[in-house]
Amino acid sequence: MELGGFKIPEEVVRIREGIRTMRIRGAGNIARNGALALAIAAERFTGDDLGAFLRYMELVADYVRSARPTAVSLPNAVSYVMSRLERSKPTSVEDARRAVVEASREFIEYSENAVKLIGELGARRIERGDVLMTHCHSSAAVSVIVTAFRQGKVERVYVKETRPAFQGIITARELAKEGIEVVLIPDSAVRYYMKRVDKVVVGADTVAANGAVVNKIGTSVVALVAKEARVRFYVASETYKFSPYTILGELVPIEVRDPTEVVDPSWLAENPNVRVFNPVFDVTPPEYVDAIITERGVIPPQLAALILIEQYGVRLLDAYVAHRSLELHVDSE
Amino acid sequence: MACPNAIETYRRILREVSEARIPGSTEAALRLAHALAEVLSYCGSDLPKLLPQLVSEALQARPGSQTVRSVLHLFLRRVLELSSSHGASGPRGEVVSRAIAEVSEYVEGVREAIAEIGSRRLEAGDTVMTYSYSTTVLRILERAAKRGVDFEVYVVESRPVAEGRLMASALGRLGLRSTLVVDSAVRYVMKRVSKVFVGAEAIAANGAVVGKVGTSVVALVAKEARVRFYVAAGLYKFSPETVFGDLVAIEELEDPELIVPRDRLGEVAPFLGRGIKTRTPLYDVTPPEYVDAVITERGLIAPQLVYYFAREFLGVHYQYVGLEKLAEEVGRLWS
Repeated sequence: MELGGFKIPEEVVRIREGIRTMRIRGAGNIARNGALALAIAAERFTGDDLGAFLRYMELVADYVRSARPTAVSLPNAVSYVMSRLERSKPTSVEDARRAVVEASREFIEYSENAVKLIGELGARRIERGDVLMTHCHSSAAVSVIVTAFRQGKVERVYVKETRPAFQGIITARELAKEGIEVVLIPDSAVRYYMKRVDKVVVGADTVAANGAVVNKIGTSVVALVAKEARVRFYVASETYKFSPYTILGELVPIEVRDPTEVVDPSWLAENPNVRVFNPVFDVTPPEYVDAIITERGVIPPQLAALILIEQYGVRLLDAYVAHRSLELHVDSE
Repeated sequence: MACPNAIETYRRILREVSEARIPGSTEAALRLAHALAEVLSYCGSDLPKLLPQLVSEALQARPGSQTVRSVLHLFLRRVLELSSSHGASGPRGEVVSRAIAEVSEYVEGVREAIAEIGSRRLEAGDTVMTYSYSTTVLRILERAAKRGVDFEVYVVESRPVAEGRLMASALGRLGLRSTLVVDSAVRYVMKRVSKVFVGAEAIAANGAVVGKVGTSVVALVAKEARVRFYVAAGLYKFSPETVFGDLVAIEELEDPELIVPRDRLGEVAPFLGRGIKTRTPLYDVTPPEYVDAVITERGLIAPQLVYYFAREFLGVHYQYVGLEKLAEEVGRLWS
């Protein structure tokens, strides 16, 4: 494939297609593949014109970024690598190539360890005898709970069923396999049981620049109920889930899914006067979040923008380019 | 119908009540009262033992429901009053059917009054949210629609029994369109809502409202969004026992099938009793400060005032006779 006069390696095209068609899924996996694609592109570049290499890498970066408009981990992985390329101030193609390959490897390694690190940092927030509550299923939140349990701190975990898709069942199983005492409750019982809970730990789908947490529908209800009961509310999230688009003022798009996830098609047919509204995520305001547990440390949610700038070198221009190419991409398909 | 059949019918309804299969607390209470009337009509010498027994079974089936308590109480009290004016040899069938008719009529009157008063709270352009299933709320909305008020309705599913679906269906049959959302979406949609209307199972002395589990979540979310939260409840839902310090008992059911869908039971089955428990409380308690007003048959009042108005309903020289004691007295009537 050709782009702006450069040949894009076959493997890079394949990775982008994998992300675009959702064959490659999960925030971490998408991010690692994005970083990998950049390393491959750098390695396959032939010639010794540094200016050409830099132009080529910018094109590849835009191309990879545009694979999936809503996955924030992807532009973060790309920015992570590209900002390190820029900071390395290369004087030759060899220099530049090495910077890309090293940054890519560094990102992949660190993102593979992120969930484990989050578990370790998060577990420090849990105290002996704590009763926890969680919503939906999150590898990062499970990591915190399991790590704390292995340290002998967790008494019991209330797991919310999480309608409509019942991801609570997956969480309940994972915790029970570790030997943790799990109480599976309906979503409606969240306030009834909150009095018995010491801390809430949930995951995140996306964290906005102001620290607002976009996560599975109902998360903001748990946060509000926890606030009312003065129960600590922690969000466990890798930093590559922080949305660079939101720095630009972009709203996080909330997907609305099919009504048949909530009721049977036959029920809908029998009830023509009833419409089912099925939003997948909701937004928890930062003031309801006591802290976000990231692999870079436990931070106040309001610091999210700083992480984006420091960790991923997100600049307004980057975000703008990503945003523009995203529009072009959507138009062309 | 013979006595054993009447008892069997009564117990079948009790089971449905305890499994929360009859939506709407007043519906459940009225059906129980009717079944008890049949028992009174057809059973004889064993009534002194039978009646207190059946009544205590009802209290165990739905311990938190003042509605069941009050409706049975009203019925038995009326039986006692009517039979004393007739004398012990009075026509039993006539007394019982008159008593049950009067209770039904009374409850009907209460609902009508609440529908009338509640419907005045709706204004054109309102977006209403309702939780679980309540015939009283249904009537409020129906009345407002008939009056030509144009409004939208969000119905919350209300897990685990999903009475919200019944509510949405019932609204649909009345020609009212609604939007169904899962319990978790309540905060997402609250911004679009202008008023919340819910029913109640009981109201405590301090004005706290015992409702279907999740009601207090909706109340809190409404409070956060500065959306008005109304409870539609007849004064017979006031719980006199709470005046004497009793707590309203809330039962927690353990049945995994209440939460886990049948096709996914296999996923949790290996851990049931070994790591995973399921728990479902039937009710929760909404603090009075989250309730803007209780819509009663005597008008729209602050939740803290329900006690005062209910006293009037219970009688000025009201001396509380426990339902079990009342059942014993009635049981002795025709033994």
